[in-house]
Amino acid sequence: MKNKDENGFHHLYDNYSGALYGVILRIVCSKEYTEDVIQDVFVKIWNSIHQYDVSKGRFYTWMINIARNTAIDYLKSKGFQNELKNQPLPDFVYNTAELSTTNEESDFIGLKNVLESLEADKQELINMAYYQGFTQNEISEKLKIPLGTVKTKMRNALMKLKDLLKDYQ
Amino acid sequence: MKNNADVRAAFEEAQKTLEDLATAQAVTPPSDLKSKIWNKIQQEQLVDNVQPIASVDIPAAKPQEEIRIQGNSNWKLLSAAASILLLLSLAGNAFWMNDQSKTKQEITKLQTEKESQSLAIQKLSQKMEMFSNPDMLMVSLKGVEKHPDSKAIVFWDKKTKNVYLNAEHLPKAPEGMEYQLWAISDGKPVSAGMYSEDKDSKIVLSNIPNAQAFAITLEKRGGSPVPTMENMFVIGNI
Repeated sequence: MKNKDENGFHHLYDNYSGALYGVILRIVCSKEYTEDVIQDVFVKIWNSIHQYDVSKGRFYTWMINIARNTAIDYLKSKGFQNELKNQPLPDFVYNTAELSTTNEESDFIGLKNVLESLEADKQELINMAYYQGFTQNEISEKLKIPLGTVKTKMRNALMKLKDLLKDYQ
Repeated sequence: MKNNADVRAAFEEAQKTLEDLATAQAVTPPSDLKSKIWNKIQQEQLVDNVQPIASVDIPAAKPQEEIRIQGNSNWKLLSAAASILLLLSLAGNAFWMNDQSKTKQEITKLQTEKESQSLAIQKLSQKMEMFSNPDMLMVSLKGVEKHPDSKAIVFWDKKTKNVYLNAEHLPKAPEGMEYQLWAISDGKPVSAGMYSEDKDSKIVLSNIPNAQAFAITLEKRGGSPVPTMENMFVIGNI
């Protein structure tokens, strides 16, 4: 894969595109945006594959982090914020509820949500850390709970999640 | 060391869990996505090969640009605030200056009025003095046939023999001409001085020791040795 040939790309794409697509879709909440982001993500992975350092973490995690950070950056980007503002007003005024349900129906239909089986506070922690990219310090500030508690709760949430995921394998 | 290994293991496990989560929640992407991405990667590589210098430059230039834009917007904000303050101050100045100049104008107007009034009072009091002087002889001169509306008064101080003239009721002398007062003494006209408005009832025209009548003629500026009879306006006997 580090040789950057087409076979390497096939291997990369066939093994990880679904998972990365799922991560990005859960962050940007639209298939259209997800397609933009995932193209950037693969290009980034491809171009910086030589920077991947085995000692700092697993390859899969490294790619998930790139996907998550790119998706979060995309949501924060100026172009995306402008696009939100440029949505025709009537849609928001009259169809807010309708709009969001159709979105969910079309883009989230049949989406497996493992986290739903977790308790609400564990779901929230994983969502904040994993999909919104908050650090444990930021979570502690946002939820107004001590950092130590965040760490403990996070560990518990991850353990619970691990158990849950066993059923999916 | 063992503790370190524990932490490392927990870290690995957390990573593994989240990877499993990603796998469990995988979504099949659209079928054409793979070729799209491969095309994009190849295009980028092409661009990279053609312009390696430009691709190195871009990330270096970006943060600078961002800082500059931020500075710029601060500067813009400050300058906008400064211009608004300046405008307000200018408007205030204009308002106060306008107000002040109005006051100044009014003061000047009042001063002029006061001066002209005190002049008129001075004039009046001088006339009053002449009227109330018991030595003052008043000779009223009446209009001749050609000028029936003209009249004048000669004040002749019998003690000092000084002659004053009040000629406010004569028509204004035309350009280059002046009224000349004549004293008729023993049938002969003697010049008793040239009249001008500033001398009226105030400045001695001449000293006439002896006269039976006074007359006024219009003469060329500077006066004439003999009166031009056809230009006589008024005459009066003592």
